[in-house]
Amino acid sequence: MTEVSDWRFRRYRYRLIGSRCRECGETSYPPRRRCARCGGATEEYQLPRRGRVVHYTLLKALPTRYNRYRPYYLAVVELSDGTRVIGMLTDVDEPSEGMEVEATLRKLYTYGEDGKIIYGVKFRPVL
Amino acid sequence: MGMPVVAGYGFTRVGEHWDRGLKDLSLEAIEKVFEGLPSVEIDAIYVGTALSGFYELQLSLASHIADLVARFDASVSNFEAGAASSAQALYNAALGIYSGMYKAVLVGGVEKMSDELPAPNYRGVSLVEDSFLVNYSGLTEIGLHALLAKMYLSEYGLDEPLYSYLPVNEHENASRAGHAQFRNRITYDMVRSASPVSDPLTIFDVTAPGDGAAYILLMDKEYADSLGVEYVKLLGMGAAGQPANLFDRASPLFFSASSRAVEKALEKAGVETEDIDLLEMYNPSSISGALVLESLGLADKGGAGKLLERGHFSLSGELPVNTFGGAKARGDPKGATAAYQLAEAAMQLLGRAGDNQVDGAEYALVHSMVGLDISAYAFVLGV
Ligand SMILES: [Zn+2]
Repeated sequence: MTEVSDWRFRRYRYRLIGSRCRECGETSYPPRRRCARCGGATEEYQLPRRGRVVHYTLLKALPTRYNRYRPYYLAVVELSDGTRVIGMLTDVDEPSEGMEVEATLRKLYTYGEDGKIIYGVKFRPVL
Repeated sequence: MGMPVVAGYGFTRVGEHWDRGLKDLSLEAIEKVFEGLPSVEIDAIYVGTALSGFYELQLSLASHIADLVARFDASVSNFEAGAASSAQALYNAALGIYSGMYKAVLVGGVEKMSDELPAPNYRGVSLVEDSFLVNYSGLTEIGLHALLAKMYLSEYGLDEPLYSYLPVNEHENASRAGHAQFRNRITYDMVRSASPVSDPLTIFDVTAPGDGAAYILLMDKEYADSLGVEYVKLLGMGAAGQPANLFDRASPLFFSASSRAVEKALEKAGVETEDIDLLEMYNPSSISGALVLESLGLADKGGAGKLLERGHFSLSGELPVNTFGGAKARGDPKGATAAYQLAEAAMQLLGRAGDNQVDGAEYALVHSMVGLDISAYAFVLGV
């Protein structure tokens, strides 16, 4: 990914903006242009911030960019409207299935000679 | 209409070939393809590579392979689709033969993965998944497989990850395969107690980076007959896809692309599932192997592990699977992987599988997929 593509995706990285099908209501994250279920056109859709952890795994085999978080938890999160998404957990020592979480903006990684910082959505426990 | 046959194959041992590059490995494999054959005119060279632009910074690889073997009259095409790169190459090469346009195509793949450290590899092999998720959600291929394993165990109420009998079987088969990367025998307990890469998966549940090249000579049957060469027939093939995002699928635990691709290939070949004597499937992890078997209807949902434990899919079982160790043990040099699978299936049908021979094998099914079943390919071979 280059600086330009990081910029182009900024809305979806920062705010958990997905898509909703205009025909059947199916929701997705990241957003789709056409519905996978019915082929209908979609519109942007602000997904709810809160949800619960359905499954999680402690990821030890990490790509270079994420090495600073080694190891990290990757989770399937079911948002309060039923949409399932995959994301990193943060601010958590030991997660559990069913744990209430909310989307938050966090540093993802830095890269390049000038250390560009890329932010994105992670999930943290609801206090 | 032409009829594609596999008239030759060649491959290198899979491993860490520090001193050899994409071209060195390709040359060894291609020379083996033509060993013992009369002079063959090649109409096209189709090359699959998942990551040559990532590791060795070589793009447009097929042009350079043609240059390597000085076959300047051939048309060249490049295929890049993870571990299905050479499956895509083969699919399209076969179209050229079915159409009557080509009489002989050199088709295969190559990968050089040991040039990189593990961390860049984890990123490289993950890039067949949706790049937004890989770049901004922390998703990796192995992490995705681990989450799928969690879903699987929970959905079917399983306490034991019996799908880990699959790598046990694969290492057993590879122990007698000279070209395999990992020839050590392992046990179920060794898989379970090995260090976790992403729980519940351990290092023995997933494939490792490897270097290798494998090529096939695909010919029109008439041309092969005129040269008097031995071959196996490509009786049918199929391809299909599904959403990359697991949660955009009707069921994350059903590989509908694999299922549909195999259905198409069997139909085209006029062969029933029960007629298949062996299966070379692509599974970059134990759990994905269980899901392929279940999605192809070869095991009940949630039941592949039990069958594996019982030896149903071992060399002497009802349906031998990954007879030379599959991606886990023979090795998984991504762009070359599907060409290895095809060559191994051809060896079985030609009775050249040595200690790994499935007696009397007449039909073989070869399955390949991109990432977690985003796209799938199937080939039915017969004697
Ligand atoms: Zn829809």
